[in-house]
Amino acid sequence: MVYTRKNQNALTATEKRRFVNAVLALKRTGEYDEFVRIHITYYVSDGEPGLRVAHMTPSFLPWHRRYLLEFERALQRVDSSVTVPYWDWTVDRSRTSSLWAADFLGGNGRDGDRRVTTGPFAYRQGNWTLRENVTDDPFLVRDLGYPAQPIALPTKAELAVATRQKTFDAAPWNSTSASGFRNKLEGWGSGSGNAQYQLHNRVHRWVGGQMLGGSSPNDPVFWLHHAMIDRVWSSWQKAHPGAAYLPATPPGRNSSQYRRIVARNEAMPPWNVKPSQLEDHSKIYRYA
Amino acid sequence: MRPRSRRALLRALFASGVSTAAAVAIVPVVADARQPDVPDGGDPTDGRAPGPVHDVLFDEVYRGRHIHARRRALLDGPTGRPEEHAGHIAAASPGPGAGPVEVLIDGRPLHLMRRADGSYLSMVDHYGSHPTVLAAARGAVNALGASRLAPAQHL
Repeated sequence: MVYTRKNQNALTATEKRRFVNAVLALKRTGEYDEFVRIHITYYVSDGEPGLRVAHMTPSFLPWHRRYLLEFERALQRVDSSVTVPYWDWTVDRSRTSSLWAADFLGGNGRDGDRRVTTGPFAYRQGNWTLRENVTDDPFLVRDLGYPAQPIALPTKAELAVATRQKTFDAAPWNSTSASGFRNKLEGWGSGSGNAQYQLHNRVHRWVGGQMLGGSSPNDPVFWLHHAMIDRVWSSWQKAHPGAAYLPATPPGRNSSQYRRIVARNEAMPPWNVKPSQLEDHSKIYRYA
Repeated sequence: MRPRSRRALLRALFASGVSTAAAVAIVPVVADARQPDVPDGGDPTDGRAPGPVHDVLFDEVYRGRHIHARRRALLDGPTGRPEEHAGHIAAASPGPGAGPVEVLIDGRPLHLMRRADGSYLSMVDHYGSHPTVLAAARGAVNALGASRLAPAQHL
């Protein structure tokens, strides 16, 4: 049965409550923190040796597609009605959008320690103590809009910079790829200051706090953001029929990327699944 | 539930049958994560002894935070293939032939990673990079706000 991932701004109060309750249930059992650890473990930067599957690499998109599916399956074991909603940040761009209301993800961090104090993930509620964190804060931190160096969420025009790319990815298959849909969407811009944060990366920066660091899934908005990224990939696939995942074959011995990236039919850890197996999600879920 | 370290998670992954290729790929990350743990001497199975501290690259107070970077002597890798060992050293070092760089903010380790363009990312900001170790340390202080880094053994 194909299920639907909805825009978070279209969820009913009941749908929001059931999503939040399922997330809190995974936190209680420790499964949630296991997801956070997986994200930390697989963040291998492209100036480092070894295989990169999650970031700065062609498999950024299929790796996160599978990661979201694993999370969604865990949620559905708690409540079979739940799916991961997406946050279209080209539309819901405000720090006071309903996404950040007390009946959903809670609001911005307060002045000073930037601690989130409203909603179900506020520390004082007792259900959201961080255990896998870059800082020693036990509480969720947000810094919406990054006021120390203000930044805006990506616009539709900025998103089009990625979606008008004709090929999935391009050599050297990392954060310096000058063309290709994947690196434009992942958002490794050039220059310094805010210009280097584009699209996917920019949203992490805009939310701030844990979302900016290695343990970004500590903020449940991570999943809504990545559902949006996945939806953009899905739409791009429809708009570019035949533009499959690249590279089709592994880079050779003379390539700087030899054994460091995953070709279309090579397996990605930790699930041992190939990008080619994740390109078509139409039998599992759809986007509304 | 007692929080598990990245190392413990990796052991679990290996035990659960993750492919050798994946395991090899992850080793340098573990090695990097271990570097800041020098004071406690670490895990005997790690195969690394704490090395002598060499050059101090910088030591300053920035926005009320003490930031310190030092380059350590080259250490022998445990079992990694030669090119991976070389890559690992290069990953955290500003120049060829130099040892890895340790960065501390108020005495707590800031894990840095290298980007393909030569710039540095920190654990605090995984989505932006800086041209130098000093800029990355200052950038991490900016992003930390009032927060402190986690103690050494955690991540």
